[in-house]
Amino acid sequence: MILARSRARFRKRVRRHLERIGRLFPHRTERDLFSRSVRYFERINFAGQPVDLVPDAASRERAAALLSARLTSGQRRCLRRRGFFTVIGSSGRRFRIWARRSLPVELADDTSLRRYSGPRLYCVTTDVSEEGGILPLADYLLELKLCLEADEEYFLLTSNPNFEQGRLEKNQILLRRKGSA
Amino acid sequence: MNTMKILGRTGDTEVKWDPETGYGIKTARRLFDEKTQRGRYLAFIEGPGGDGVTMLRHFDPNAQSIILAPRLIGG
Repeated sequence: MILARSRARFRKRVRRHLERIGRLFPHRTERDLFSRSVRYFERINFAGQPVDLVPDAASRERAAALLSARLTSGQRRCLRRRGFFTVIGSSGRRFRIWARRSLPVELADDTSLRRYSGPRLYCVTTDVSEEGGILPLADYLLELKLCLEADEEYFLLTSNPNFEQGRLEKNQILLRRKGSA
Repeated sequence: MNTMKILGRTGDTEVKWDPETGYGIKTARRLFDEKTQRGRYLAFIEGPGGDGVTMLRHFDPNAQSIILAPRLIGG
């Protein structure tokens, strides 16, 4: 009886101690999601920008939590270790979304003939002219993921590919839409 | 409560409404229409557990989770 009571008291004390440590060092989702180099390059991007346009630490943390909740554990691990995660578009093709601002999407599908030997990348950004600021990186990646999963054709029309096949595909979609209109 | 998250510089802003009682639907609809007019924002609707994402053109009060994000432009 006495032993059980002392054990319970000990557990309670340990729990309190851990809570106190947790308050001192809160969990940082951004650190879990992005590697040190990704966070470093993100800070460099913001270096010349006015302070009121740049997302603060709390915003970045909130964005990271939102993205983290929508990724699988494999995607989270891949993003942390290799700097990208894979998404399957609405047409079934695989895309890699890299944690960076320029050329963030790569076509990772090998079903078509590959003449161009380099990475097949798409350049796309968010229009924040109305918002008046820069979107946190995690929110930007989340938007790309949702767009590819929901409407791949819209993404292909909006983005600028760096390879010939992508440009041809974009023109074909444009012609098809023009014909149907 | 159903939620709508509006992505922006300060992370996401959350708007909640209850489709059964009608609480908050008016505000959510107004915000949705304001943001999506002239294609300034893209609206995504998520299925349960974040599966089955589709684009949304008009506000659906029965949608469990809506995400509004600024439109994409070619870089």
